[in-house]
Amino acid sequence: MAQDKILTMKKTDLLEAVKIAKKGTHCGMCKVDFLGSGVCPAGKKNGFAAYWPEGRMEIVKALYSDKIKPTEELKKIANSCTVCGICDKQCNFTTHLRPEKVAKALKEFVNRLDDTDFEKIPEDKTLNQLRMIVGEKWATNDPAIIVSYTKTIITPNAGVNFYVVMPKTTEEVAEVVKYAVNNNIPYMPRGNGTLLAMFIETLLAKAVTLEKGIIFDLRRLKELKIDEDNKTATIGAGVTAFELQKEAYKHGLRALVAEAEAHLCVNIASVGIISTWGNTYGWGSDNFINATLIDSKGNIIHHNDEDLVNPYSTNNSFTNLTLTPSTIITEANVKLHQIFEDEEAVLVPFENLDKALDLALELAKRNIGLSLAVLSSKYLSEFICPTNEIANDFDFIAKNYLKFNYVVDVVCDKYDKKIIAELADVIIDQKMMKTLILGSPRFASLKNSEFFKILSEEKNPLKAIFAGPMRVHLEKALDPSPKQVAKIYDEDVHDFFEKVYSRPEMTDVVWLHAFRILPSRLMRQRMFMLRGGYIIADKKKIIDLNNMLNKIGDKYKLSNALGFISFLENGKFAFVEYDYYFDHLDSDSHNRLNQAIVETLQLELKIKGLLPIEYVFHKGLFRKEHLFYPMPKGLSDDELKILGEMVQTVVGG
Amino acid sequence: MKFLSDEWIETAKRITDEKLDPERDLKKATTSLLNIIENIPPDGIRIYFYISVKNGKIIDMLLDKTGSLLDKDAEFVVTGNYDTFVQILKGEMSTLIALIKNRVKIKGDKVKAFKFVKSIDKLNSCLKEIETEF
Repeated sequence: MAQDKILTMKKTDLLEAVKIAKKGTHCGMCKVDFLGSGVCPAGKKNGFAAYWPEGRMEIVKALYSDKIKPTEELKKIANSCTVCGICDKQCNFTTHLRPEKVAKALKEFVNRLDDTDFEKIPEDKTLNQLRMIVGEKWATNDPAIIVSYTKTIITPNAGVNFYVVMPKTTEEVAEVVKYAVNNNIPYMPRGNGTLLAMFIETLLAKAVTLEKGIIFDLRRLKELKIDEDNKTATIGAGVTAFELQKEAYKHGLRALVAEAEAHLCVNIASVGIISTWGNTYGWGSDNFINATLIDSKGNIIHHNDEDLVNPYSTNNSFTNLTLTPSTIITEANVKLHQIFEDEEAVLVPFENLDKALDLALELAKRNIGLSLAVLSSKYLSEFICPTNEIANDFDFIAKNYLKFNYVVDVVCDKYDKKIIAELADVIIDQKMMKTLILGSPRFASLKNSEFFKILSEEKNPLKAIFAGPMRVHLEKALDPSPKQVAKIYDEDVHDFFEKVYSRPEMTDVVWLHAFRILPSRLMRQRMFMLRGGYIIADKKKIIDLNNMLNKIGDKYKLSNALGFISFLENGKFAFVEYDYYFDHLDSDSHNRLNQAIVETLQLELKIKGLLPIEYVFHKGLFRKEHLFYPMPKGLSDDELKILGEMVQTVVGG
Repeated sequence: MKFLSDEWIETAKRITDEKLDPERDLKKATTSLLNIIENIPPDGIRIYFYISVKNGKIIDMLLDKTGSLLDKDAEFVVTGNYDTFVQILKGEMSTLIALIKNRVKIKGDKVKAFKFVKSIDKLNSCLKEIETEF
């Protein structure tokens, strides 16, 4: 077919698909069976990102912009989609997108081409060597596969001069690293790519990505074994947080995990596991017993090796900034924790952060609560509401009518619950949370209602609605049901979502905390960038940090809010996540975000007792004792000047 | 001319002497740097490239394949793969990015080293002007 005809076809056939694809944010949830619907069969069979819904989105964008030409592999990728609709259901839940339209458009476009329109990509020496190590199917240099990693590891505008390997074993990873090092080929490992997807949208893109060379997709390292006697699990680098938690729960145990889609080993090595459960389960090396790593020479090392030089040693100087991993983790042996039968979620709402921190710090110091955090109402709304619009209205009502800006969020046993009930004015219990989850669309629809206006005139609206007689009226008014939530989805998936929301775990707040399927909603057709870090858990320090981040966010006209504050070591340290939301399709929004990142980093580094999140990257394997003791003392003016030059260089590349 | 050949070093000495201002570019620094360049094709050998600076003036640029330059006790030792040094010299990657990306390892006082990052980049942009065959 003539090239100009292909070009015309692309511009017409793929136009609608490209619009959807551009909104994609690569949350990675399409690779996790979190709704019990199964996952994309083509992705499961073929592994490479290109065969998953998020990969098809990148392919469509690349074809449309002429970054790649049709290849024989592209034909296979396009036709591997069975149009089963699983991706639509999963993506609808998290981002409210319908990626099946993208897959269909790609399939139709490819099948209109002639056989002669598909390029065969020649093998080269490197590809042959890589295939010798990992097997024919699991190494490629095909541009259609390469571009599917565009937003999750490849340096922006770096082209397609890459190889992708999907090794199955630690030994294969080691062999590929040895080959890469001996042949001067850069390489970088990748888990599910969610964190990278976030950072690629910022000025840190060049520092966190691969500009050429070999991409390690670790998805095939799938070993998962539970040792019930020792309460531990052995996991390969391809195991997701959701998969481990599901397996652990079968044994009555719980793992400290990251967001559902995160490859747990990769998360352990990158930022440790930062979680509200840190209150009891800790952080970093508190939770793993052994780790298998490939060093920069291709040697296999184990953290438990007797002759290993202290692998936990690091420092928290501002020069200790590492934005790509120095080793590849292939396996970890992690602790599992007991689940108690009487666990319950208890949420205590507050008008201001000051009072919320009083309670949270008191609980943390007394080691009350398995999981403990302060959340903003924005964060809570984003998690429990099925769309951005409903979340925004929910948050508006919480703030403006209920004086509900923060919540102390605790998962605890019945003994701790009694203590919390004694300390708190008002409690939102599991039953009320179920009401809010299933009734969120109607709750949000009451934004301009007289009901809330009258309620807002109460002396303590929170008490009136959650602990007073109005609670019954609210429950009636919301008419919470799976059917009601399901209605906000497209008509063809109503039944599916009614069944999903009928499952007990979907409204079980303890389960939702443990399996962490909701954070992906923060990437619902727009991105966010996290600020903050670990800080000495002093109320004033935390509030000052929160206020500073809020001020800078407002200065650069970024929608911003506290995410969560969690605690470590009996309330000695806190982790503060503050979020800047931005439109990843708007360059002005990017510019404002980048300025805000630079300014906040400089201000954060001046704060005594704060370790910014950037300085935790790739230090997850370390003991927090090495990283936090002592906490940074704040940079001098001279050091800040050096930092300023560093930032300029990082931005420049 | 061939990268890291004797001819290349002589040209590098001349061009840096001509173009780098001791005060503006090298901040009147007195320091020494040993680059250890590994896996140089075709045989995967290692080359040691030593630079000594006094009051912002480059006084020594030495090459060695045996490791004898280790005896110079350079204030900073930077180790990395050949390809990384090539990328830095071509201006495709800054020294700092190479460091943050774990492409090079540095031994020595990091705070002090970071003060010199801009100077090193200026030195590299000077060396970039040499018509080099990598």
